[in-house]
Amino acid sequence: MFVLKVLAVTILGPSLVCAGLALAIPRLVGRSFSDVPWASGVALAAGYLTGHALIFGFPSLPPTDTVQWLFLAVGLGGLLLALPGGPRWPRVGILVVFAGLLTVTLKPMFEYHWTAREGLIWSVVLLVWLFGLDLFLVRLSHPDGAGPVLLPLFAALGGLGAALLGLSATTSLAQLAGSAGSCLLVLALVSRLRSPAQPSWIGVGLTILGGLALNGLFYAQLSGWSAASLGAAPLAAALASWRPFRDRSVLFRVAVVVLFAVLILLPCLSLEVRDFLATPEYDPYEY
Amino acid sequence: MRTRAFSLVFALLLLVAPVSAAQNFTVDTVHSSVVFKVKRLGVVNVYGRFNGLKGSIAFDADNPAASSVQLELQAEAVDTNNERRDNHLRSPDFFNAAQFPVINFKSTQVKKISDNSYEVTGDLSLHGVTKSMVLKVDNVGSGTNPRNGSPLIGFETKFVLKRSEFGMTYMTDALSDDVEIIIAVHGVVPAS
Repeated sequence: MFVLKVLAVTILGPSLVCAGLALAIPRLVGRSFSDVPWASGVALAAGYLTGHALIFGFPSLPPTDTVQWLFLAVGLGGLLLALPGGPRWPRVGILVVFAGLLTVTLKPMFEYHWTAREGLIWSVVLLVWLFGLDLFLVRLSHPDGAGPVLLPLFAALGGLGAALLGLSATTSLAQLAGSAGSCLLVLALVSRLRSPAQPSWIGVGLTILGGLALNGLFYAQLSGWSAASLGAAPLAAALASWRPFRDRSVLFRVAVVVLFAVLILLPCLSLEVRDFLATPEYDPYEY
Repeated sequence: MRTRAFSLVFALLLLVAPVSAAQNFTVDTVHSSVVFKVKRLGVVNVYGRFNGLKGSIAFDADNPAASSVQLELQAEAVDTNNERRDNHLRSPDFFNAAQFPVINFKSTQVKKISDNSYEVTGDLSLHGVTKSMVLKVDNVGSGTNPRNGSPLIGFETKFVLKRSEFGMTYMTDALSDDVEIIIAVHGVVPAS
């Protein structure tokens, strides 16, 4: 019963909200899913926020810790995407959300652990990486390019991220990553069965998975290698546009891209599992 | 003449009258303890402790209202005799030690309620939340150090707090919201 409850909270609830919005929004505005640019981003944000609320409850105002701030960042990201604007506005808005996310996520590190110089280097590198990844993925997201493989890839990254976080002494962050992964899978199915999603979900997805990875790296026991691998794995999407694979079926390209992402993460996952299983038999920790 | 006589009497009175002031103690980390228990699955109490309690006590037995206490713990010093569980407790799931490294208590009021029992009101800061707490504290003993004759004192308190009130809301169906805490403090006067 306990496991069923955890699965319902982590996967079922967020997926239902995400799916509901992904299907309802186009219907309400009288257009197809791919003709409503903000639908995928808003649906993903709402699904993740549902997962957070079911796992932790609603955050206090002002938020007291970085995971609560992530809730606000995702909510803000979703709202920004829903605002009408030209093609530049969402990217500027997403840059603002990334900068805000990094500011609040790294604040305790500045306060207790880093020198100003260390903090500045980390902040600049992370902001450049996140925003660069966003631009790279949006560019790839054309339906004739890597577009159809991005959502399944990110769904897989959500699941793999959940596994890595679960092995890093934090089950709550693992649950949140699982929620995000299940919402991304739902969006992938809606994209496949209805019409392709517009890339508004990319900025929200990077906010969620990037935020969780940073929380795992700095405040739990996610190793640097695991965090870096999670950060690099989205680059696997470029394979879908590679000439040998470009004309193959969508399912084939999804399989190749996901397999490559798994290969990037497999060394870290193996090491984390090895360390986890190395606990002596007389020490069966179960909270 | 009158002024001189008055000054002399006043000086004599000062010599004779007992001078009462708060005595300052430092918390003896080695002989002080912070122990907690939490109920797992509604079935069994699981115990843990925090190592390395630090702080100071100013205690005035004659005027308890002039007394004060300040205690400090490092959140990462949680110890349940299981490394994996301790790492979990330090994670964002519970104490979030990297974000909130220090747990402290600072008194704002001390009131005597009976012989050797005091009501201590103070602010407990834990997990980024500060709340006022009222603790019943017993003075369990006092004496002198046989090595150097310096004063020693002991206090103990037991109280329950709800971890959700301090933002620790995770897994309250598996681990109780109520956490019972016992703090035993040994106060010493450090050698000068």
